[in-house]
Amino acid sequence: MALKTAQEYLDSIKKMKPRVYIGGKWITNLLKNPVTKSMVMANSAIYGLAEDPAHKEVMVATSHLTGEPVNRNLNVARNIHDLDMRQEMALLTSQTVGTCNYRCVGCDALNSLASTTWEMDQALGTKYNERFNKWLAYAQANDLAVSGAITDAKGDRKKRPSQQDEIDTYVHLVEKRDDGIVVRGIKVSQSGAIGSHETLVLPGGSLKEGEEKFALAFAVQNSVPGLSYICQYNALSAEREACDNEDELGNPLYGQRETSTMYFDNVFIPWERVFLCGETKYCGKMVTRFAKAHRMNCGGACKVGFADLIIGGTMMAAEYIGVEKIPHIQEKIIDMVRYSETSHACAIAAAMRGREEPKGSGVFLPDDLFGNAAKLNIAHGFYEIIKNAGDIGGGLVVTAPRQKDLDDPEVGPVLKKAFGAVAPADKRMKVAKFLQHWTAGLHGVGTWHGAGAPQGQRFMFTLLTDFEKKKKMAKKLMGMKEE
Amino acid sequence: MGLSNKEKGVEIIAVSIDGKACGNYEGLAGTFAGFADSCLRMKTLPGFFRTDLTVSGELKERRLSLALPGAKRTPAELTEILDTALLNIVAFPSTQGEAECFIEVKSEK
Repeated sequence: MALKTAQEYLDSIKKMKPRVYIGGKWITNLLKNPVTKSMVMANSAIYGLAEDPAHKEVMVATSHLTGEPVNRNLNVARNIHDLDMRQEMALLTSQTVGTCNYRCVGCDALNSLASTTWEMDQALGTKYNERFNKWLAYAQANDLAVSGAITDAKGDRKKRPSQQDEIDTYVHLVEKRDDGIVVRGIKVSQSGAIGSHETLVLPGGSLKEGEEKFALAFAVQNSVPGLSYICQYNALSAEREACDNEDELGNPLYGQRETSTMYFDNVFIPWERVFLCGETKYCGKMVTRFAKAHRMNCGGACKVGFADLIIGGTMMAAEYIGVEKIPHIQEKIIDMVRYSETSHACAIAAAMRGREEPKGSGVFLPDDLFGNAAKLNIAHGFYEIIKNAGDIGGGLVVTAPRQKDLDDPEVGPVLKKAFGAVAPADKRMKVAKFLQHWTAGLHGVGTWHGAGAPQGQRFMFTLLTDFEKKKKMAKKLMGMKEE
Repeated sequence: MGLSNKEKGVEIIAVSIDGKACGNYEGLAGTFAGFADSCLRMKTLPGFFRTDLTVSGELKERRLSLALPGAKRTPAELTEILDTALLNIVAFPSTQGEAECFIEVKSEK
């Protein structure tokens, strides 16, 4: 089996028993809690896209290891077309589920691993790439849902990992054994880890000599003993748990973006699943390569898919109250399109200017500058987009009663009178709830920090931009002589 | 001719319950080591971490003998528990290849 259907994924997850805590309780069945279920249903929809012949070009790739068709979420990009289809997949999945493609981080992590383990084997004579390829072939053959864990808890940011008062703020090595390693520590903000079969764990940043115990990359099955997940919990989680009809929610089927804190409590990892252990010199490369892939996909495509949904909802809100032809409304909607399509253009450019990295590896990664531009642009642009959605959607976006209240014999008629306009009240309130999900939910901060906060992209701009060359060009045109 | 298990990087694990073979599972190489670590160091099965189900066992070479203390369980119940545990360590039922690792389970009163 190379491609799982949505139903086969659901069937497999029904039997998985990760140790998951959410909102004050440990749960044993992901599909019985409405919040965790929304995450699983989103992943299921991603599997479903690969079944649809209309999306085959985007969602299905050919494994470079076996020549078999594989889900693109498990594909290593081997050319420009692969990179382009990868960012198109991020766009399509966001447009489809209005939340994370929870296999996305895993996909970018495995591309970084393919590149960096190859380089390590060439330079150090290690066998990491061979191991990684065997793991990948197995994941592809069984079409596993693979999430990615990068961000350590980090503790006091002024201190290096080994200087922290609480060493568990970084995932680290506890013991090396003949058959594998034992690890402990904490990774935070891990999207969709609970509903995956496996997670790829990468170092959270560059490391120095002397910090070998934090230099780890490995694949872990998500229900192994010692691994626990503490899910995020917020007003939207509580609303979903409390409501008796999910149709009333802003994103009824797939919910908000579900993440968890992953706690590794002396978890054993067999050597066959270890792809970096102690080689501090390669941690920075591994993270940077992950980031350049993820910034193209997360910044320039995923959030653009969200923007498409927000723009659609905002236009409906305008039409429902009869303001869609007013010039300043049209101008604001055009601005929303401008922010979003500029980011998508950066993602396409990042794919088109992608290159093999390192030379000889066969692994293609996006252009760094354009990928960072995509992410930085959408980080700021997304706030403008949701600002305009709130502006055009009006106060109702945050003041609407429940949809269900329209059916109440006493207050329903009042609400229908109050909110009926060009469109009836129920349609207006449905759109208001949809826009509330985006403008007053988690996606603003999520977009800002996802794939790294903008300061990281600004730092990369400083590194990647040849400012001296620009000065030289300007001087030449001005007729100034070089000093 | 197909690749060997070693070339593919997988291993076949045979499961028997109360002396009776009940199926093979294929996992990535290292899966058996992970399963054994779970049972012997963590005293639990994958997917049953910090539940009431504790296990004890003994490992000799590539053969893991397991006992599940507590009430006597039927072979069908034990089969289901082992099936869940192996799926939770991402090993899947297989009819191909020769087993090189063995899990023998018996229930205990």
